[in-house]
Parts: sequence; C-alpha cells; structure tokens
Amino acid sequence: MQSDSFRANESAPGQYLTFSVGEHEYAFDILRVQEIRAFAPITPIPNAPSFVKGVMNLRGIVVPIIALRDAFGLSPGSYGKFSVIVVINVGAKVIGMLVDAVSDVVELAVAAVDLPSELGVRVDTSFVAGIGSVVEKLIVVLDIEQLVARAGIATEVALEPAANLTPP
Amino acid sequence: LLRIERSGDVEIDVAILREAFFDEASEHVSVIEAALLELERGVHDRALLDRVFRSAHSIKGASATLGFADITRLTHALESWLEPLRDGLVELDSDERLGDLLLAATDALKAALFSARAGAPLPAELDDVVADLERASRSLEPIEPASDRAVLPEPAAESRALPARRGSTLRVSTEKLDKLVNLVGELMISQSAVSQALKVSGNDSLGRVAEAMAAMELNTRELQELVMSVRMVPMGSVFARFPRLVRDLKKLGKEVELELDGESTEIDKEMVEQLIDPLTHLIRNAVDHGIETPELRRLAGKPEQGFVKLSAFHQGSGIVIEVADDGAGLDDARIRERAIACGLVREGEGLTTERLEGLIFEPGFSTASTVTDVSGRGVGLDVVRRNIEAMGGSVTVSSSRGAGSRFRVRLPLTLAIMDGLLLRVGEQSFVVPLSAILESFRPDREQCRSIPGHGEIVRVRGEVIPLVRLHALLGVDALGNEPWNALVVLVETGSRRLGLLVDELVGQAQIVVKSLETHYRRVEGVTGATILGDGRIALILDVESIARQVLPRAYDASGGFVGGEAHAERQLQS
Repeated sequence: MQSDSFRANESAPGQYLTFSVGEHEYAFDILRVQEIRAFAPITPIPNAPSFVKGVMNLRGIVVPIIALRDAFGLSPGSYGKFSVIVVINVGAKVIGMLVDAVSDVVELAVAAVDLPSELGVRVDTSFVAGIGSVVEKLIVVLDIEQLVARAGIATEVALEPAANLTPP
Repeated sequence: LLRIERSGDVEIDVAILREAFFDEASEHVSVIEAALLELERGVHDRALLDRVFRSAHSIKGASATLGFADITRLTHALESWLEPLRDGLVELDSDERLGDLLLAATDALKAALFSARAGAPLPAELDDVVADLERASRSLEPIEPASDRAVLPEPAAESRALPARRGSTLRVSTEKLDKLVNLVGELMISQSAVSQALKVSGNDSLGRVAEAMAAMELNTRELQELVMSVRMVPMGSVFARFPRLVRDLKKLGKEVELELDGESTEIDKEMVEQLIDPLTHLIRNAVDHGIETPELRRLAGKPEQGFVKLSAFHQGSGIVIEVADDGAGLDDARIRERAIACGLVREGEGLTTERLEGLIFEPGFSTASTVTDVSGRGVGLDVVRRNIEAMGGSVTVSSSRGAGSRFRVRLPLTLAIMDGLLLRVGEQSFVVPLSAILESFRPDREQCRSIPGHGEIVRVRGEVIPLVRLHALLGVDALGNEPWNALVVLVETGSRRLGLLVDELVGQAQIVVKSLETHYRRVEGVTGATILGDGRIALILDVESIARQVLPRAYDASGGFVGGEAHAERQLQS
C-alpha cells in the first residue's frame, strides 16, 4: 500500500529512518520501524535465498534477518560490530534488516523514480519505492514489501475479522 | 478499528464485542446441535429443550444488537420450531425429516457465522433454509428441503466450520488466574531476595543467593506448568462434533451407535483444530468401511447395530485417542495383495501383522484407484498419518478379522514443549525430537558403504539404513568428519529408518518450540526453532521431511532394494 502512494510524482513529506549500505544512503518509512538492535548472532536457515542470513532471537521471538548488502548484490564482506539490525513490521510479521549503519531520522518528500541507474544508484530497482533528497544528498527509499516478498516471506495481511466492515 | 462513543468518555470497541459474539455464538450453535441430536435419539428432557431455547435466544438477541440481520432472521425461524417442540406438538424422534430440517438450520447458522466473521457475503443458501423453516412451521409439517444439500458434509465444509483465527480467545478459570498472579508475586519476592543477598558482603551472601535461587527455580517450574495448563482444553470440545457426523453417515444404510469416552481429558488448545480432520477421517472410515451393513452383520451373528467408540485418555507424558469399531476388521490377505501390486512389499516377503497393517498408512497405498477393494481401508490414511506426525504424534492400527479394528493415535500433551536431543553439526546446533530417536553410535569403517549415485548406507545389526550427511542437506560448513570419526543418530519415522551423521551430541533438553512460520515461512526439513540457554536459536529438525528428501536413494549393498523401502525402487525407475 505504501508503494501506491509513491506513484504520485511527489508525496507529502514524511519521516524516514536513513541508513547506509555500502556507499549509499537508504531509508525506510519510520512508521514501519519497530526498533533498532545491535548485531547479534544469527542462525542460518537451510534453503533460504542468499540474502536471508538466518534467524535471530528477539526477546523470545524468532525473527528472520535480511542482509541488505547481499540483497543489493554488494560484496557481503564486512558485517561486524558496527552493523545494525533495523527491525521492521510488515503486516503481522516482524523482520530484521541488516544494514551497515543507521544515520538519522529525516523529513523527506519522496518522488517516484523512473531511472535510478541515471542517478548512479546501484540498486536492483525493484526494491526502490522512490527517491528523496536532503541537502543535495539523494536518498533511496526502499520498498519493504518488495524486499520481503523477494525473501520468500508471505505477508498476507492477517484476517481481521470484520473490524472495518459494515455489518451485512 | 470501529469505535462508538458512549456517554462521553466510555468507548466500546465494537471489534472486541464482535469477536466475543462470534465465540459465544459458535458455542451456542454447538449446544443447539448436540441437544437436537439427543432429542432425535428419543431423549425427552425439558432441561434439554430449555437449553436449546436459551442458546437460540442468545444468538438472536446478540446478532440483532450487532446488526447481523440475516443471522437474527435465521435464529428467529429456528425458534419458531422450538416452541411446538417444547409444547410437545411435534417430536424430533418421530420424523427424520424434521431432524434434517433443523440440523440444516444449524449448519446454515454455522456457515453464516463463519462468513460474517470473515467479513464475506453470507452464503446464498441461507435464504432457502429460512424459507424452508418458515414454510414448514406454518403447517407444522416438515418438508423436504427445497435447497439441494449433500447428505454427507463435504470435508471442505468441515474445515470451513472453524475459521482459521488469529488472536483467538481462550477462557481461563479465575482460580487458575489467581494462582498465576500469586506465583508471579512469589517470583518477584525471590527475585528481590536475590538482589538483597547480593548486597550483603561476606560468606553469608553466597548461601543466601543459593537459597533464594532455589526458591526461584521452584517457582519458575510451577509457573511454567500452570501457564501450560492454561492452554489446555477438554477433549470434549473436539468430540462434540462427531455425534452429528455419525448421524449423517447413517444415511449410508448403516446402523451405528457412537460412544464417547474421556471427554474431560485435557489437550493443548493448539492441537484441537489440527485434530479435527484426522479424527473425522478415522470415524468416517470406521462407519463407512469398518461397520458392515445390517444384513451382513446379522449373517455374521452380530447385532445389527454397529458400534464405534471414540475415547481419549492420558498415558505416560502423552495423550491417546482411540477410534474402535466392531466391524469387519482389516483383510490382511488383501492388504498384502495390494501392497505387492503397488510395490510396497515384495512377493513372499515375510512381514509381521503389525508391519503389514501399518502399510495402510503408506502414501502409495491410498492414491491408487482400486483402493476401496481392500475392504475400503486406506483412503487418505496417509494424510491422517501426516497430520498426526506433524503434531509430533503417531498412529497405529490393530485389527481382528470379523471383530473390528482399533486406530490408536498417540500425541504429546502439548505442542509448546518437547523433549529433544541437542546435537552439533559443524558449528551449528540442531534439535532432534527425542521421540524419533532410536539410538546413537559411532560406526566402524566396515559398517559404512557408499553406493555411487545413491548415497551412503550404514549397516546396523544386519539392517541396511540410509545415511544422511546433515551438513550437506542443511548447507552447514562441516568439519568433514567421516562417519567412523563422527556419530550416527538412528531415527525412525513411520516405518522408515535413517542414520543422521552429526559431529557431537550435546545433550537432552526440554525445549520450548517456536514457529518459524510466524515471522518467516515454512522451511523444508525443519519443524520449528528453539532458543538455547545462551540466547542463540537452534532449528528443530523434521525427521519425516528429511526421510522424504533422501529416501529415494535408499539402496542396499547387494544392489537390490531394502524391504520396507521397496517403494523407493519405483520412484527410481519412474
């Protein structure tokens, strides 16, 4: 649903959490971010896509971790003590995104983009929801649904029994 | 969420009200259905009638308040029949069509509640049912339902009756809740005792800490047991649906009496919904294929009315559910015939009765079209076994020709906790359910063989068992140990055995089972995960799924295939 609102050329400004992966700055809609965690031991899962690093224990729940470096096709190399896990809510699911470092919370007006390649951003465009800029710096806003879907995680919205439906 | 403002600051969450309504209404429908079945059997009891009345009235009132007009209309139509029933103007046991009519109304009510809960449009046949009820009640003469309904409830309709709910509710006795609150209080006291003791310096301190810790341990264990007991519900909630099933199955021309036993046996609520399908299948099987027709029974010198008994009881640390019938029993000769035909058994192969009858649970056995020839048994029994095994249980059958069969389902008490063996493969820890493990050993070099193109085997006391290098299957960096330097854990699932190659056995532990599906997805070869003492996650291996992945390669040293694994041969040839 988020991605739809970005289809309009430029959306109303909203708050975004920015972070770095490789040399670039990316952002998630702040409303989707549950918390930010330090890097913790991850248990690999068999038969998972390469960028699903495994699962982590988040206060007793088992949370899958998507490594954005791998998802973007960057050298996986340097995950370590500076790496950070951004915990995201997608529908009823809780998912961790492994990033290099968290930067800031900024106000961004996000424009839908046609050709990120022209902007010199090396990202699989299917993950991109739009582009915003802060002080001349371009920030790629990521499409969380796409990322999660590519990781093979089904996020069909839980059956909300008639909460927003009028009685028949 | 939809909210209504009332008297200024009191807000009532309509969504919560609705959830409560659906939960209660489902219970009321079950009460009505059970009572109607009793009345139909000729039980004349005023209290029973009053109960039906009350339940119908509750649904009517609540549905009207919440604006479910169709449900109100349906319950109202149903009520118009209950009055003459109470006044003795009509009797359920005198006319089968009346039972059909009223039970069709409860079915429609269930379907309507299900649809309303899911926010879907109400089923179209609802209007037909209301019309039937109204038309018939005018003359007090039951009529053939105008709408076309199948005599046997479709399996799809069965599972539809219970919506897959998230955030479902559970009733807990206040007594249990009070105990919980007390225990948490105790726990906090022992905790503060620990921190107090830590502040005191000197030799005394350690002793006090140890003392407080001991109390805390006791409390924690009690708390765990109590929390688990909160999840338990009586088996009766599963059994309640089966009298209706058997009533409808009687239309197949069988005389059957269903006896229920052990309804108060408690079971994990999580398992209730997963149990319904396999048990429905077993009971349907017992009536449809186990019990003979009245003529045949008379010829065999048995009472015309067949008998199916569904019982539940605790045994050891688990629960046993039995479906027993006094029907024809299994025909071993035909099972053997059939098993040979589909390649499960070789001609002249010696099998114990137990092992032979166990074959009716094999997948290859049931998918064939001629399966009803084998005294009808075996239809979808592989699915029953799979469902039961998915819950960490097992199912067996024992039978006596002419005297009946007995299906025995064994289940763990809870899905939340299980006994597991913690083992290490490379740098990673895994858990294997203890129930699947036969033994572990370090094989000699002579016991192991590699068969080109078919993987490895290990010989154990003359039996040839496929060997699985877990690290290869799970994609773990291995230490590269050869079997004779490592360990083999021998596991069994169904009638199949496997040797799992591991680097180290860490130990046995009671583990709390967490689902991977909650936040990720189902993973082949893995049933779930658990959190270890150091906070890391270990995956719980699914022995059944691993067996399925590797079994086609099962091979024995002489180039032929191993007895029970003969179906692997078919898979290789196809």
